Amino acid sequence: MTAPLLSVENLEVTFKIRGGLLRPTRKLKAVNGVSFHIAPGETLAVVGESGSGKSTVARAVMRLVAPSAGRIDLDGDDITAMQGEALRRIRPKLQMVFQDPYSSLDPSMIIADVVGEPLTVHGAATGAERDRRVQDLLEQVGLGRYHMNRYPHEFSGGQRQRIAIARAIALSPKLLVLDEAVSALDVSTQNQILNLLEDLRRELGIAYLFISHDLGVVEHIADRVAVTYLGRIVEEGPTERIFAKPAHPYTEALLSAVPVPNPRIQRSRKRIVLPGDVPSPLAPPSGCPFHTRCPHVMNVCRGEMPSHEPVAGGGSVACYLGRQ
Amino acid sequence: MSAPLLEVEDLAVEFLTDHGWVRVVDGVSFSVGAGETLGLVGESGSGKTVTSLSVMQLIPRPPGRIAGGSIRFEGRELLGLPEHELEALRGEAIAMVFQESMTSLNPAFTIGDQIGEVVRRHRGVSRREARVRALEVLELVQIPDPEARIDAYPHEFSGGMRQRAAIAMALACDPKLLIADEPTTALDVTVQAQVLDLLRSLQQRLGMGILFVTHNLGVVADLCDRVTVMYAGRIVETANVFDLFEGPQHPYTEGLLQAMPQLGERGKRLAAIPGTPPMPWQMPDGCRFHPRCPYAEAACAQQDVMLTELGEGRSARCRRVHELDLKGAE
Repeated sequence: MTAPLLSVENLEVTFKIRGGLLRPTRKLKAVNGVSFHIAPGETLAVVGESGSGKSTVARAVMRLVAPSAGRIDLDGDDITAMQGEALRRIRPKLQMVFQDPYSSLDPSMIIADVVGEPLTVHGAATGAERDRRVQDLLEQVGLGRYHMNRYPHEFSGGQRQRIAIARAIALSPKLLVLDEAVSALDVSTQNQILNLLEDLRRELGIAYLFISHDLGVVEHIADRVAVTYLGRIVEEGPTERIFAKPAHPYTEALLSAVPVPNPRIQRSRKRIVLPGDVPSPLAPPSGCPFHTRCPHVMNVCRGEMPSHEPVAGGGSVACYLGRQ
Repeated sequence: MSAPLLEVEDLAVEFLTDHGWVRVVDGVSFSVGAGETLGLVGESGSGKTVTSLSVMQLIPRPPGRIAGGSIRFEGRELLGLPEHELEALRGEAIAMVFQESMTSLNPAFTIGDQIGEVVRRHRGVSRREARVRALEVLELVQIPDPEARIDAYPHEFSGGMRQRAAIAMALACDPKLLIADEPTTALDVTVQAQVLDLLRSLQQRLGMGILFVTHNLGVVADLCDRVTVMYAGRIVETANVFDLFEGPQHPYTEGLLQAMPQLGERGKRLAAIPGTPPMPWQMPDGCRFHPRCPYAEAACAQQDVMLTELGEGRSARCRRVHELDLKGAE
């Protein structure tokens, strides 16, 4: 096995929720004991619903929020508490693309500067050399030289996401963190971007941390999937195994809730409709976080969070079902 | 067959832009029967939401205007109806649910007061009777512990519960037609599954017609009886839901179906429709889809294309409809 590019161990991120006049400050554990690895060139999808902590995981890896516990290693360096110049030096290895292509690009900058800025900031290229690199990058994402002097508002959502990707790959990163990067796009455009990501991975060997709520997209793009619920990874494994034989009741329910775009199949398949809502992360349930909605809940589930144990077919699951 | 509940015929809607009056909905016709769910499907900018807002004449005027056509509800023409008569219909016989329930609920009033207000306005009943009705509909949409929740404010509800409350408000006066515009799009999938189940069972019990506006073909496959697909302000295809998914008759519908990632094979490239939809002030001549269509011929760029009736309520707007053998969902 090759050494992982990214290794996250027991990550914990806590937010302080400021209280009011008579309300105490409360702590919200958005990410709790999360561990995973990404090999070079591999795509790991982190899936989950709102409040699952999946975006916070992405932001912690990007060092945009500080972990309260745990350790993050990137390409052999411990980046958990890295600061200042050291952090700046590893930045080129680690880039991010956000969900909303309308707010992630500076509207006052022309595209040549949007895409070229990382090159300037990190002293990678200047002047004519920079312009040539920008032109190459734009071609790589399916745009042209004639786009260089235009402003972001002149582009459609899909094109803007291409620009954001061009900027993100400008410094040849090893890991690209994609937080719901295709969620705001229409299906026809979304697939153009997913195909582009596949091409870039093949050509440049970039690894992806792909944060998404869309399981259809994840099944297509990911090598491995981690399923999160209320700040915890409840199951992790190879994409084929997760989709064919989910081991956690939440994964099973989540997959069954995604409507299949075929009325005959959709109307005849067995569906698990979970009762209620995801509990508030401010007051998470004891034990397994899913026990309040789990159709298979047992007494033991209310006590301790189950440990991750290996699953036949690859990966691991944190569930008491079938144990003992 | 009885007369449809809602009949929209040749609807045209225009907006005043920097490019002058621009037609964003052009010659749109469809109908919704009692107890039926019609899916109105399209990507952003297709005109599906403008169409659904036009039914209740909720297009902001200016900059919008309904430039032509007819909208009949139970045989009665709605276009040109005085505002107070429209007001009487809205929330009574015809109700709406939107994507973002926070925008249809007023944050300053309790859930119970807001539902009660709708009932009192349309039914002229007392506060107490309105509260009883509010409680009934909250139970109907399966809000847990409705006696306690009736006095809660919208912000105290989760997203899924707020959407249930918005549906409860829409149902308060037993509407005959529910217009639902992307009502599950902002919800998590497990909550979406709950809301779709709820809509299905409510329709079975109450027999209302539903105009369901969405971009999500999975949701259409789950809930709709018939489907109308819009592209660039026009209808390109209408069919029974099973026929549409099995054998689409318009290349755009085929493109949408093939673009569903679930239908693509892992590791293979995903089907994508090349290019982007046209801007309403730059509509291409001929078939509006021809610049992106893999089957386009020279003539597609020249002649305007009419909808071809294909029998059994099917129609498609494609010159080559009788020659093409398009791929459906497997």
